[in-house]
Amino acid sequence: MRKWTLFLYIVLAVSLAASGVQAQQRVPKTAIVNSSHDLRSTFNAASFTLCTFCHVAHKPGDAPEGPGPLLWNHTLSSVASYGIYSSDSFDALNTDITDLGGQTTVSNLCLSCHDGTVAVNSFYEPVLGANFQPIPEGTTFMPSSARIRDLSKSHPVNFTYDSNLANAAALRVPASTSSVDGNGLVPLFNGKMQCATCHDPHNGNSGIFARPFPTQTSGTFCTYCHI
Amino acid sequence: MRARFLFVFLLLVAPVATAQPADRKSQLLNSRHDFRATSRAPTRAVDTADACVFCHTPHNANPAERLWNRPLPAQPFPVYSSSTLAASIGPMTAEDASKLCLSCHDGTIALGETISSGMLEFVQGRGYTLPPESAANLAAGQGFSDDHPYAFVPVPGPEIQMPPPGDAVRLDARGRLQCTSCHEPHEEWRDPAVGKFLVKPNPASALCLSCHRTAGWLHSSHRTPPDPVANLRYTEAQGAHTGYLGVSNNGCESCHRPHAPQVGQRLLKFPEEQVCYTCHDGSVATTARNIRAEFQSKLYTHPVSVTPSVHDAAEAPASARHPLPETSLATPRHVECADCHNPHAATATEAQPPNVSGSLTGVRGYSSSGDHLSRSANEFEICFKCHADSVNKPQRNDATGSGIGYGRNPLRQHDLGNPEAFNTRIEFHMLLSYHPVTRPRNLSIGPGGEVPSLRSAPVTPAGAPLPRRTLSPTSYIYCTDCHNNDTGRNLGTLSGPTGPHGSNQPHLLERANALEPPPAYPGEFTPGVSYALEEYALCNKCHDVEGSVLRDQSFPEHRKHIRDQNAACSTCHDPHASSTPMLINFDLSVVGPNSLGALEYRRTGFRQGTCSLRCHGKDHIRTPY
Repeated sequence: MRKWTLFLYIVLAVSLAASGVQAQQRVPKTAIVNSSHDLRSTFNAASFTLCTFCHVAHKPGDAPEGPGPLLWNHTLSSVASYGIYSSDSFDALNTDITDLGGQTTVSNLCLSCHDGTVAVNSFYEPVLGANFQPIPEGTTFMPSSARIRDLSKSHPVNFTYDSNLANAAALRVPASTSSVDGNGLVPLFNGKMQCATCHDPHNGNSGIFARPFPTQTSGTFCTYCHI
Repeated sequence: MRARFLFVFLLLVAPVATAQPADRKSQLLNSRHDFRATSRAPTRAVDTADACVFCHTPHNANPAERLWNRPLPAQPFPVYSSSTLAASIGPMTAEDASKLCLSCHDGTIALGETISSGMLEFVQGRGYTLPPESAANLAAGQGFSDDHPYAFVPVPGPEIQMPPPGDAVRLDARGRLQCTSCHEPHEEWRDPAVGKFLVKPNPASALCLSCHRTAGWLHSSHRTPPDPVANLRYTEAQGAHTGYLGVSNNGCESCHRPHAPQVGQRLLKFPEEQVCYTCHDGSVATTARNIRAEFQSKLYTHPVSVTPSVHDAAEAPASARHPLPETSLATPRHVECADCHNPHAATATEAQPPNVSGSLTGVRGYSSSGDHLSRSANEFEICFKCHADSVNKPQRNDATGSGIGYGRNPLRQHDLGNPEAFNTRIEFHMLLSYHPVTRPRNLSIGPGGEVPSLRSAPVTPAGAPLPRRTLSPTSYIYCTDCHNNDTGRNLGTLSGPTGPHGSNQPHLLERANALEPPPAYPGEFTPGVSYALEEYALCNKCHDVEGSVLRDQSFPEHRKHIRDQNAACSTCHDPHASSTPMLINFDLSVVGPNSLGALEYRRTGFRQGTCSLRCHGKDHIRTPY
């Protein structure tokens, strides 16, 4: 009886492998280690500072008011307008897409470093530890090659990606308001596309911190949504 | 109950079913626009995994619109122009999406050149641009002057419409036509026969017809050739370039080509008559329509093959650049197929004179009263475009009367010093006596009538009546009843094409109409034409020469002149018209003034008149009959 069960498992495993179905896994946060989002060596910081460039576990005492989500610890940008992508073939134009300037969406967290106006080492809660020196806080900015300041020249974000839009623009119909695939690999945020829909800032396995898209048959993940 | 449910269901489904299908970007994969290293396209990168990067970047794009990732074309090229184009074609602006396409397709920028990733190396080499010999290099050769215009606002008119709502052909948000109006760069095979990234299948030029509503096309023989077998003879070997088989399915592209035709203006595949010869050389159209052989093998032709002899579709009396009738003696004469035929409107319908037949449908003309017509109703109106008021008619330059390429020209009595000599419109419509081309003649016929020789129907050379034709006092005749192919179907028995394309008879005549060899001096002796009926086959078509003329039923001296003295019909009669009765208009190369210096025919009554002249050495002094 047990042999039978084993046999069935083997058959199942072989057929799954043969059919090319390979379930993608969410990337563990540890994948950030030694990636370009691992800023410890750049700032000559202590090993325990890995997360604290972006997150803080506690905001004790009279900590200044900061964005709550994701225990954010990086000073937000004060840029008032990033612009909005527009084109006569962009179907989400004139929907609920808004300028990210002055907002606190999840994409604003990315832009708090990547718009280039706030130093990478600018924090709500100063990171403790002698090894963090000698680079003074608030002095090192994002290199220009990684800066995104004008969102009218970038793939649009901060718009609702739902079945209406998908049908109009020949996109994959999202499985839920929290992810395109339904398993959280390609997340949406209250139904909206944001930077983190394509990028996983912890995925050091990918040079561009790409999400582990369920299929990448084309060698490009664009066609996951742009079917 | 069930029916009602079905109705509700249909209501729900209908909007989805009729909605414009959105462009699916992943269709690009493995098309000719997929440059990934693993693509099946022959032109591709050496090791780039991403298909989109060659055109798009998600960040820091330039221009921002469509997230463009390539440098834009800057080199100026000539653009399309045409004398019949209503829209104005200016240089591209920064907002024109066509600029994006041309960042590869003008051949100046490497396919691998990107903003985000620098130069991506191609299998064809680093920095590979579309070579001049590539069909995809649109600027090679004549720049964009031989490409359908783009980046412009179409002007609707009688033959141009805006693409209908829901059509796959679309103008951009500013109402401008772009490359993307006809091409969807992400999907190559929506037309499975053509490819070329067309926005929709293009059998019978369905795509062109979204905008072009060319007058007459719906019923044209070129849209639906009457002979289905001939239709299918138009294959790739015959020059069909679309992938479709047959004239019908090639549609507009049987003659036109939207990119890189040989003639930029009006996008013609070949110059002038060569386009028509693609089919009308016996290879596709039936031998009954082998027109090329007419022009190339006959002694006398409408000289379409003389180049540069250029027809311009903008020709009109009011046209500054292309006045027709011509207003300057210095303007070279021209004739092309399209002067007499409208290939968009031609049909195989037969007609009775003076009406145009199907093959002459939709052709501009010039009326008997001298008005420009956008559509000739009568055949002579087409001939009058060039053979009426044009000041550059060749006879003007033919002082000797030897004929310049068209046969000896009789020196007509009434043509001397007449500014309207050779103006066939004036001749047929204004003069006293005339052949009934523009107006009926109303002469009495039959024995005892004024024209007893008139047959009840024109006859074949063998004497059989031509089908579907009659002659009567009120009937009209065509110019082409006399000026026509000498070996065509018009002769009743043969199979060649009809129409005055070419003939071995001088003056492009259908049958012989002998002229006398002129004597050394007019009026002196000449051997004339030794009589045979075939010498006057043309006149005999409608006038019974042996049954009436030579029996002296009208002029009692006909037999004496023609049989005994070898005079020709043409020596006394002008076959077009005359300001003297009975078409008398002496050929002054044969006939001279009499010893009193007089040269005149005078009609004195019914079948009565006098002649004052000298001919064949014989003095006539008011010689009566």
